[in-house]
Amino acid sequence: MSLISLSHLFFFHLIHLSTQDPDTGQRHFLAQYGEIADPTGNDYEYDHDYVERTNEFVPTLRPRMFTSTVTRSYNPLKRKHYYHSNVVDVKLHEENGFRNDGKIGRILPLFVMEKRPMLYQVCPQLVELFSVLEESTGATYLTTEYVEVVTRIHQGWRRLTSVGYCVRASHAGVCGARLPLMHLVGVGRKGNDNFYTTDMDEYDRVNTQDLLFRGTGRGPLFMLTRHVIAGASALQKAASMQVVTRALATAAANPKTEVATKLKVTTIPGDGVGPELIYCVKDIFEGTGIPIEFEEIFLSEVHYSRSASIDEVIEAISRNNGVALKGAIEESAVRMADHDAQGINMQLRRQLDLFANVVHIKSMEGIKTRHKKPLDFVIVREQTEGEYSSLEHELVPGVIECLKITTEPNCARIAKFAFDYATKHGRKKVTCVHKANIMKLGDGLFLQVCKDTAKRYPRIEFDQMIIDNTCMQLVNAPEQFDVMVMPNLYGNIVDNLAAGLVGGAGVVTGKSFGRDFVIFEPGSRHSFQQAMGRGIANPAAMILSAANMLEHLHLVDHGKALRKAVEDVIREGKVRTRDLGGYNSTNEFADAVISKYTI
Amino acid sequence: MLTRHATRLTNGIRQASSDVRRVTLIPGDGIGPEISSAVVKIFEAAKAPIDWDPVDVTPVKGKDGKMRIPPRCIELMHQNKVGLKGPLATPIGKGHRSLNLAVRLEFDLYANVRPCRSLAGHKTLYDNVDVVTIRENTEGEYSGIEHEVSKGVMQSIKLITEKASRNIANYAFEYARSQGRKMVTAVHKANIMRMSDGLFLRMCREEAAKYPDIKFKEAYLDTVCLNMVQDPSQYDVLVMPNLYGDILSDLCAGLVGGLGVTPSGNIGKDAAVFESVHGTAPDIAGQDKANPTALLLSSVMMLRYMKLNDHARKIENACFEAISEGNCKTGDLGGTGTCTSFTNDIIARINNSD
Repeated sequence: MSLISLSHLFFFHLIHLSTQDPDTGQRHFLAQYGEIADPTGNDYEYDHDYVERTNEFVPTLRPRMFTSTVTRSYNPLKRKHYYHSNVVDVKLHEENGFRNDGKIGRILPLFVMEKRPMLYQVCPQLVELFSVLEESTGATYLTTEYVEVVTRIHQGWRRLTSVGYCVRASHAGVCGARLPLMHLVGVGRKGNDNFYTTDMDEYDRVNTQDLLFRGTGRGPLFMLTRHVIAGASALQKAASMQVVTRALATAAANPKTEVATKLKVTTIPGDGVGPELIYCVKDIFEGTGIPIEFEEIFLSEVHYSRSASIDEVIEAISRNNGVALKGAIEESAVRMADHDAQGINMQLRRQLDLFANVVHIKSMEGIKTRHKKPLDFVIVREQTEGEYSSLEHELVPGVIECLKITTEPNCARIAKFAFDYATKHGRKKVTCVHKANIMKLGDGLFLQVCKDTAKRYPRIEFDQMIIDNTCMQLVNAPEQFDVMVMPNLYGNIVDNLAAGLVGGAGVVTGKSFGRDFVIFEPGSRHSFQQAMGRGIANPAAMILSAANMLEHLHLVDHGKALRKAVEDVIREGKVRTRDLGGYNSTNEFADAVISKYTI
Repeated sequence: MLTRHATRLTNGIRQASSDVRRVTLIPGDGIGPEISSAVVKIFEAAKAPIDWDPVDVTPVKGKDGKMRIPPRCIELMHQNKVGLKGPLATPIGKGHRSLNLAVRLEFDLYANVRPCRSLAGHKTLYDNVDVVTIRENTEGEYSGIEHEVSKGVMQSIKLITEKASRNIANYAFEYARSQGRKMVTAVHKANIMRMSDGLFLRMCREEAAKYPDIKFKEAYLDTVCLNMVQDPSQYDVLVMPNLYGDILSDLCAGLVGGLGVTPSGNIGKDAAVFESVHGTAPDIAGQDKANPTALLLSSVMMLRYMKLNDHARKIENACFEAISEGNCKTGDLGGTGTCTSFTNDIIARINNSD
């Protein structure tokens, strides 16, 4: 038995006491609170449907003992494998991970967080580990509202200064190359650095105050990593490095030997200039050889007779990796026979449950703005409820009531998403934008939930600001913002305001996240009817959204190259559309992007 | 000086327009008293025929136990019909209505007018801004009706009535006509809130038909936000429901230099209260650092409302000159002066211009 002293410094330094069972060699970890739970280890019952049923989680501070046993089960009805441990439950979708049918997906293990109190503290570290795995194995970890916590990996691994040993490895994406993950035993944090140790002896010598999680050769982390890496390495050997799409890591026996050709993605052109911009993207993809195939589906409220139904759209998107590239769809004022009908955009968002809209506001070189500071902030907007609930009725003739609904689960969801997003992308501050001084219950709830969520992310600063003041600050000093989270309507306002700050609707990208679907679209959703068919719209927003989509589909190199091409074109300033001060057309811009594209 | 006029109460006799007009003065909290006295001094120097009735609107417990505005204030206001209000403190999340809201509802001040014009001496990133936001002030999202429908589900009600929408649309066009404005834009989100903003839009269209000399446009809220930060000169008068108006008027104020230099008026059918919209700034209260520009420009709006245009012009010009040329500006305008020095500068300019 080896005992490690308790750490009292920070609550996220979890595991300090560990005992080793002499018979099985399992290590048992005692929680920070010192309470020892059921010594047999698995002190909960796993329910296969648990993950699907529960959509919210509320951490309770029940001290638990973590064991490092891992069991595996398989649900034949759903064809899903489950790995259980006290710390992390991993569910592997069979259709995405274990079948050899040539279908390319982007999902490997689904990292699910359950109602475990410690997970909130260990989560950032664990997912940093996952990000290491991700980089090294080429697998992607599912992005759900919980899993958008994969943090950005640090540049290489760090040397521990005072302790004297280091682990060096590259995360260049080549599995197993210099990354001794097989022997990964511990994840820790020292100061601002993360470190990972592979040597058990050295590990024992490490200053235990900095240790966060300890695994063994048989610990859950290890099993996970071995599993993932085994599959991935088999695959990598089969495929060449020029493979443009990464095939999935299969679990064991049958590694894929052939390279699938193209990833399929749904496009929803929308109204106005949408079709032109989508055409532009297709043009660029063909001209640059990016291996994406588009399946177009027509969704429109204005052209209601020819439009597909929402169900068909959902089906199309789920068929194609759950990813879509979308233009702006205009809401029609004509078919208002049924006054309670939601607009088509809201229907789509609700049914796909795209609860988070992320707009990244980044100033681009080559676009003149009024304020000279470089901007780089993110707006996270709740998209399914709030003022856009479309619950209206006429009380008496001449008096109309419109309901704004705020629910706690949705607030919790978006707040967590925002903080996870901040963690993933290395952001330092999250600002909650609200109007709780007037709407005390509705926005008061939102603010309170954000505050509560902030407590679980001690490394991220939390701030709140009233929407009026936010607008004023945005026009005067926008550089102060980092990540902003807000309900629906304020998100709409701030999105567009901020887009205007960096160059307008033609340069800003947006992503709508749901649990199972992601839609990439220009950030400020204007269909720009006046320019329809004239070929003068700025396609940069749509192209950059397509670049985001490529990164999401794990064609990272292509995505980066495309983004760089667009930035080069704009920086050079020779080809500019009208909103940027020139007179070039959409097609000329696309041609310039193709010519600048190098991978 | 204030005490001289404080206790004089007329018995509800309307003053003739050439006589001295009585105005209820609500100094407010924080820096309120300083800037109110600054404005009073300037009015004296400009010889404006205004008599002030200062009151305190701190809520008192009424007979039914609820907190109300003191009845004396209400009496005065009903007599005087015009008020000038400094900043009032609004507690967040305390349960009772904000005081600002209460004042507006009490006197049915249905239109909030905020002209935002770039100041000559106060340069911001946005030039040539000349926008007036007219916002419906009594209903909409700020009706204050909220409930917890079930655990964890909150419902806020946005009320749009035909009557209020018609009133505000009518006011907007009347204002545009009287101020010589060319275009009125209705800002809405009728693509999402089809019934409520649809009703608002319908009323605006009906009123627009009655004013053929003024151009009427409709624009989505997000389009207006997008365009406002890129080119504010494309908008003239904006009319909108309560919430959008709140946000957009603050946005426009930010374009010209913030709430410290923006006037605002709440107009009703027969009463009006002009106010400064900045906060109470408790951190600089009492230190003579406050900037009275906002309250001063609001009082100029008040003079125009009362048709005392000459005095209005005199005071306004003096104020603009003091900001553009003078070196007695307060700190927030980029100068090193104090409230007193700024006030004296303006008074000197007024005396010089006579």
